[in-house]
Amino acid sequence: MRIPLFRGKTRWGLLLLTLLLSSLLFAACGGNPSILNPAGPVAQDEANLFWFILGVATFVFVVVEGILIWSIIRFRERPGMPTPRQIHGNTTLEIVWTVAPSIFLFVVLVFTIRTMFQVDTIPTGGQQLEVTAVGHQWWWEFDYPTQKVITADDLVVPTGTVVHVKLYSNNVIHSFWVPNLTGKTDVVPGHDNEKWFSVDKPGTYHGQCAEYCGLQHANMAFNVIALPPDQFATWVSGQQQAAANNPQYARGLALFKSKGCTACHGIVGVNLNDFNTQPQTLVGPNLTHFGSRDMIAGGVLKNTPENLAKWLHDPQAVKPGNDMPNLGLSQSEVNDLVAYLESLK
Amino acid sequence: MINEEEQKDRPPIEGEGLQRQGEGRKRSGNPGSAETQEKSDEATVVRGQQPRPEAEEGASEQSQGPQGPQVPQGPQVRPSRARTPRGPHASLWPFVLALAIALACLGVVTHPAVLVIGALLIVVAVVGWGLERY
Amino acid sequence: MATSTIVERPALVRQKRFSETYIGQWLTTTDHKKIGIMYMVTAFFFFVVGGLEALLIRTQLALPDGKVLDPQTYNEIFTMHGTTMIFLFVMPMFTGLGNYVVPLMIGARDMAFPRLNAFGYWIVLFGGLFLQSSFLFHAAPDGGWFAYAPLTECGVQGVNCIPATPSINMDFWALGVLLLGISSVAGALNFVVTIFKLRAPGMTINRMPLFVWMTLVTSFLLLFALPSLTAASGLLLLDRHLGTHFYQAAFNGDPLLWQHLFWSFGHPEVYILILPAFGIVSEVLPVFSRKPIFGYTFVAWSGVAIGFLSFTVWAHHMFAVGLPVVAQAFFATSTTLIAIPTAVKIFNWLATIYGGKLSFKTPMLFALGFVAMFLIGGLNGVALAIVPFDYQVTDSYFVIAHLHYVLFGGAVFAIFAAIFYWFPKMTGKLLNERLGQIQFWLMLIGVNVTFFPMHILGLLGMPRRIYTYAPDLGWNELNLLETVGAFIIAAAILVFLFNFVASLRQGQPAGGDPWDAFTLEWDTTSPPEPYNFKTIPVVRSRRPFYDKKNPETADWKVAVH
Repeated sequence: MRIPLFRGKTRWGLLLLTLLLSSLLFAACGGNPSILNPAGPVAQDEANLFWFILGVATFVFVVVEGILIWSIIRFRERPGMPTPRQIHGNTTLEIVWTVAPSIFLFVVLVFTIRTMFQVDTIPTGGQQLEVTAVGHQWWWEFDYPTQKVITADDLVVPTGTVVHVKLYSNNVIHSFWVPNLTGKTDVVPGHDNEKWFSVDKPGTYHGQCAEYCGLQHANMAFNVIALPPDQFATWVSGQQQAAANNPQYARGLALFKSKGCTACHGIVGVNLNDFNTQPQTLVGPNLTHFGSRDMIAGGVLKNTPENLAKWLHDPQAVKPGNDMPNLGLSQSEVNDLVAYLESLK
Repeated sequence: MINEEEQKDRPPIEGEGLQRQGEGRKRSGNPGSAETQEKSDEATVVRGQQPRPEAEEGASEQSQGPQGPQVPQGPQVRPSRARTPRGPHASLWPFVLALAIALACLGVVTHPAVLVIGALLIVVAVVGWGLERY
Repeated sequence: MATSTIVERPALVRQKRFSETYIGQWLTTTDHKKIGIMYMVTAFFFFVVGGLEALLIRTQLALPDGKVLDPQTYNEIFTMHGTTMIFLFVMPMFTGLGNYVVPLMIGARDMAFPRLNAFGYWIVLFGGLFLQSSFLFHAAPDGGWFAYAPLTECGVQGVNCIPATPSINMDFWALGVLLLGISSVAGALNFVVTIFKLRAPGMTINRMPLFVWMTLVTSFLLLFALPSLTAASGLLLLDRHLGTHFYQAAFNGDPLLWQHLFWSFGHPEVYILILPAFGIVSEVLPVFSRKPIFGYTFVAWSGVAIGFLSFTVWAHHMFAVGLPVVAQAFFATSTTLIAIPTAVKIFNWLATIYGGKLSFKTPMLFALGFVAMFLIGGLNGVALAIVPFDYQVTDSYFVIAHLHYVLFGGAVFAIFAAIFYWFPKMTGKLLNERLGQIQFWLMLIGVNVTFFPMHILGLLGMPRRIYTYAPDLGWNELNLLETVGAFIIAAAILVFLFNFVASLRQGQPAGGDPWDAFTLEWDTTSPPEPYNFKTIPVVRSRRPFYDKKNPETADWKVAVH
């Protein structure tokens, strides 16, 4: 009866090991927000540390669990086994296994602290872009103070540039995290936290608030969109324009003004004269170039006309607890508003 | 078992002893029973929770050593035929006090009336606990 | 004979006192063993409650865009899951075990303060019911088990987080935690005094069983750590109701004050939850290896070292909040240091079973399972001390994996080892071995299926505390796997509950010493009389009961402690 027990243990051990290796492989190759798929120097440093500690940990794991399982098999009770020697301890051994892990851990610590200074020090040279990330409940606003541009949900950056992110919140604590690009830094009210990252190759990277910040913490995502520098310049000049005033969408524009949208949202050229670079004058996201964005309301929906209609019908059904009330719009009003907002490229 | 010991120590008072014996048997395991049985001679009882380790520790420390310590035959704390030890007295006040405090907290979040009841009960429980003969 | 006397002479039956009725016995008891049992039964009840909450969480997350729970309920459930498991399950369970076993192990007749002891228990029960009653008011705490301010004092969501008539959810939490803190302080004081003052003759500090050692260290941790939590939640209540602004940045308060206060309780708390488990394993492994614990002094003092160091590591929960780099380096170092005494313990356990004669009774299986699982929790814990890597995985599912390997693979395995080990002492009956083994294997599989994939999800960028996730992020399969694992664990717990009830009714009689054990609690009847020992034993070594059973090879003859 005891023997099958061990076979069981070994079998499960093997299964576990297979699971471990295959899933790690999966994690490394997997697409979207994986920290093992770094796209910039900060995430690269952090991922390197992971592979390092994974090696160390696997070594310790195999040795210790090996001794454990071997002892279990070797010293299991068998008929006629004598009473074992009553050994109370051995000081030499104790010293050995106090010193050995100390050395291991010291090495780990050296790597830790060295990388920490690299990751935490914002480089001064080269191309720089300054952005303020503002954490709202529950969406991200991105202010470009130099370019005088404000966006929401999408953080557009040029590749090969040190993006210097200042983190601001006046409500609760959020945390800025883009697994492919950089680890977390919390957005703490009253603290001037900042961080940096840089993107090697163009692409869209998933970002997410990582500090529990209330009801809709789950739906507080953002995208980091990395463009080559020339495309970035084009994007900036596009964003700096006031909203297009196309008479085709006049009904939507009128609804935007009359239905109370302007109480919370700003559109440059409609109810704002320019991008207000001070965050937090209005409660909701600036919609001047809403049509150019990927996501609605912290990533709860992809930005498509159908989704926007769904959102405008009843925001509380899509994302319960958010600040936008149900405006009680009719179907045709929704259609007009959707057409207008999606035209704001 | 408790009662057999008891009986040897003191002659049964007529009738009462028998009755108590029966009761004790039914509820053996209840510290409260010991209380009633031993009320009369409280002073001679060795309190269960006072084995006086400090005094004893020193003594046994001296007597033992690598070679030839005497094998202990029963403790020296009390003479071997002492009264059967007993557990501590029963008391309802810890229960009441805890209930009162929780009630007061519930009052804080719900209704002031509950808070008042809880606070009064806390006072009662603290006084009761303090005045309890133990 | 006595019974018949009563029947014949009913007139002489005295009115029963309240403390003699069945209910009264339990309500008024000050017997450490009864209190211990009540603690454990209550803790297990809350374990089931917390477990059901966990199943709800896993059901919601089984598939992307889950619709089982709405976001508010989900947030309440995960908050209560953490709070329940930590404050209402693991802590009372260890207090209960300590209550039952420690006085017996040191040869005492009871705890030093029996009424205080009873009070501590009742506060846990009522505090727990108070916390859970919040569900009845539709106001269960929803701020997470570490209740970060200023989120926990926001009245209105959205713009400024200013406390304007906040809902009562977090009041339940803050008051509940205060209540449970009272209980823990009472219990800890009682343990400290009991262990220092009521040891049997000859039971010097250096001969105490290791479970007693670890209970002592844990009690000191509680005494020094809890004031911080009490202060923190006191300030939180002031902020919420009396208009102070301790955690309000807009009024020159500081949100980080909460985090420092909370974690300077919270990290010692982690060791409060695991040190007694170390103690249990250090009791169980030797008995079923037929050897003394290897390196007693090192096992005991590494526990003390962990206790001291646990007060220096709290900010490793806060690496992402933007502390100065030098401070982070300090906390990374102290966190790395605390791994050393932990490693020493693991090596000593391995050396204990090495060269032994291992018998795989259920307590031993769980103790070995503890060593195997806790090692994983230790290794991924060291990974979390690597600050730049921690930036990536803190507040992600990697942390959930870590803490569950430590608390479930660690503490819960040790708790089951303890239950299977001491159940015979408490009831006089043995738990069924076969069911115990089934439970162990189910749990071992369940734990790894549930919690191992969480490492990967963390690496894949899944943050913790999200009530839903989009289907296109690559997290679907692993989440489903975890949910399956959670139900395997639930099955294991069901097996245990069945085993418990069945064995209580018709379990094999245990006798005083079913495991041929070494320590004093087995040197009396099962269950022990209210006064524990007829005569207080005299102790000559670390294994007094072993000495008694093996006079020729007694420890005090062959080894000098």
